Amino acid sequence: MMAATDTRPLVIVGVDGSAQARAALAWAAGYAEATGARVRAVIAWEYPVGFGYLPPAPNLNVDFEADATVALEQAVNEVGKEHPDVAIDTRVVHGFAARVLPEMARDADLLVVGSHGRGALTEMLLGSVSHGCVHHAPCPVVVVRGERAHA
Amino acid sequence: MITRILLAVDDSPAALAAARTAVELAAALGARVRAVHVLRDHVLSNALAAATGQADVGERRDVAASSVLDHVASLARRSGVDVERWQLEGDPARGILAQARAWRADLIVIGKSDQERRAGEPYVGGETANVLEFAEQPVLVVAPPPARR
Repeated sequence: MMAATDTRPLVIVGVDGSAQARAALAWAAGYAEATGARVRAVIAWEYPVGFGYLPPAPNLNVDFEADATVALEQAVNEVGKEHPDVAIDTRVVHGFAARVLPEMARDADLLVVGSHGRGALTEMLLGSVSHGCVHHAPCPVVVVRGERAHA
Repeated sequence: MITRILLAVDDSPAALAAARTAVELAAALGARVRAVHVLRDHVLSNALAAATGQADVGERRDVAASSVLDHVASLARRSGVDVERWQLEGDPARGILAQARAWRADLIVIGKSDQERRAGEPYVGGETANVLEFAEQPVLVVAPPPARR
């Protein structure tokens, strides 16, 4: 629409359907609202990987891209309701998020990611995606914690 | 939304880039900045003094640290941003995290170390990695300006 001529700062957010990613999107929307930036919510999807002689995946009719699109739209709709004045567009990209997001951020002013996505392991405090983004993104990166109980 | 920005600085180019980002953001949001510099324990200064034979190593490190904070303060002043200077001593990551919690910071801004690039891989820096892992607040990591070649 106005993408080519839009001069507002661009904030890229990684979304994966997790609560942490939701927190990242909400943070980005709040930031955009306060600074007059626009938000691009990005979901990266991949085919599941099998190693060795594993039986074929039980259901190969799953449309991973469509699932990703639904997860993204859902997150954007929810967060968008709380920030009706913020322009949020979406991108569904095939690839590993830790690679996709820094690449998408090449033209961005800020990249926002959750500290963990769906692949969270309790002993890994910083997820592989946020780690990859901090290492490789060409712009400043914000790592957002999800809701977490503090003692 | 963001009213308290904790800026963690040392004397690296990345920290100065982080300072610029923090001040710009604070100006845009009308937020306050607390610039924190953590000087490693005097144990290290004492060891340095012993190793180098220069008794004033600790003192000179204090001067370097305070000039970093001076720089941040003047940057903030030019942008009309309210900045507090905090000089701490001890373990940097721990000091930054404790300060962020005590002050109830909304955001931590920190530079990505430009040191120890290994095999072309960018390196985040140990202190920054620790802050990233243990912070309860969102952490904004700012890369150093690209090296001139």
